[in-house]
Amino acid sequence: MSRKGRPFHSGQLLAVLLAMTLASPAYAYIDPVTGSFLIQGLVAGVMAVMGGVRSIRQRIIGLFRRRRDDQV
Amino acid sequence: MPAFQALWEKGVHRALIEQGLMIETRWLAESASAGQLLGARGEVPGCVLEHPRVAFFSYPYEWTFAQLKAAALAHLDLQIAALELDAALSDATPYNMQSVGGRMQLIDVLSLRPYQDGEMWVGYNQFCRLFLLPLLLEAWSGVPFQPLLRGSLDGMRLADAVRMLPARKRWLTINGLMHVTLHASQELSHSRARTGKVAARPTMPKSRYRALLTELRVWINALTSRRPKTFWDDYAVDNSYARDDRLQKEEFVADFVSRGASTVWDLGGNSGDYSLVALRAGARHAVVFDSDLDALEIAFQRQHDHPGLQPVVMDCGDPSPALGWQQRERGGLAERMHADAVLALALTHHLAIGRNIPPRSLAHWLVSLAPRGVVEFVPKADPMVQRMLAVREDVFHDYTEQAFLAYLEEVAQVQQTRRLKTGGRLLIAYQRHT
Repeated sequence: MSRKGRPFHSGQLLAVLLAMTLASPAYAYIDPVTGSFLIQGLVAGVMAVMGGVRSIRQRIIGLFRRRRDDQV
Repeated sequence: MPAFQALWEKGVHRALIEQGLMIETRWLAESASAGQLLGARGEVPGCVLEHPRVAFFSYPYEWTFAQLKAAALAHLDLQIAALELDAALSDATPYNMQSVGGRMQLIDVLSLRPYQDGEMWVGYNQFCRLFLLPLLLEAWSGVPFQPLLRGSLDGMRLADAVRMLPARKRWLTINGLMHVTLHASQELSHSRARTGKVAARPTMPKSRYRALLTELRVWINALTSRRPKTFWDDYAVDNSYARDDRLQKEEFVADFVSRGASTVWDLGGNSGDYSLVALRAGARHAVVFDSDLDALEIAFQRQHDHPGLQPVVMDCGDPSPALGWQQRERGGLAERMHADAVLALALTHHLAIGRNIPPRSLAHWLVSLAPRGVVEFVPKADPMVQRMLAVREDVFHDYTEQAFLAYLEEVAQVQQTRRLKTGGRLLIAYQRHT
């Protein structure tokens, strides 16, 4: 996964991060969202694969349905 | 403003509104009242938008599982449709969704902004905390989520919430592993002040962004509640009413509503039987308040054919409090009272006897909710009340029809009454003193 690309507008990101910051006394919270960004690439990649599998499966089922219709 | 205007002129909002995903919006070109509308810091509005009124503004802790699921699906559908139009949302919160005309729609029109090439889903964490985890709590663990959302406006931290979910589901399913386990573990490891590494800005191709939203949508669509059924599930079918009584009651309510009630609150309305009567008699909106989640799920299913019906999770004895900044961000029930009429049928005994609420206080509270109303007084002789008194000491000295009417007449005028043939219940239609 390449790391090129424009950065977020820092003001926008800051506003979003501030809005999402939870008050938690136990940890030194910088922001809880960074983690979500870092795994999102991986998660989305897996989702893309799942989506591909699902569409292939639907196409195969579609093939069978059409054949059944032809036989009628 | 410029971003909003650009999207508006491109027709993004119009497209989303046409698909029923966003609340109807009109940009008022010249508004006389614009001069009087100022922002919190004295800002002058750049534009004035008009939306249809929402009959009863509700929050996710007042929704059933099916309602939160519908909101999640509508939200994702909107995100996906917006992405096709090169737009994205800044956040992903159920507080930006409302039930409008029987559909969950996005109401935060201004949170739409142009999609930036390669950007990631900024709202992923928020979506998981406020939509996904509550749904999974009920779908995987069978635990209702309303107390969780009411207890914390931002929702629970993922790392805390996952401990309530079954290990098998969150390790052995791909979706569970990705969105729940992995996601929660990342949250934890980045909370321990391991700063500095935000310099690298991750990016994501649009197709992957779309896949993330789409697969989440497919997964959430398949979720069903594993909550055990509640006691009152058979209430509507098998209870102590005779058929005659029900017809009398329906007639009384229909007559009452036809004399002028546009928005009706049906307290303890169960699955909405009398709300439907109200709608048929001319009411435009009937809000069913109840704490029985199964009954409300039935009411929600009926919303499909009757868009004016709106189920709301609410315990009359412990209604939603005011929450958020200055306790004014999310109004409590008392701050959202815009009903024309109230129905309090088969309710008085549950509150006065079941919850020990003094009848005078109860009568006054009912009248405070709306200018007109119908209340059904259920006497001690009623079999239901007898069952309740069998396990309680009868300390309810002023729970009598006479006393209740007296309390009611302190604040309202009784206009009509009808005695139900069997059981001695009394229907009372009243109008609040001005």
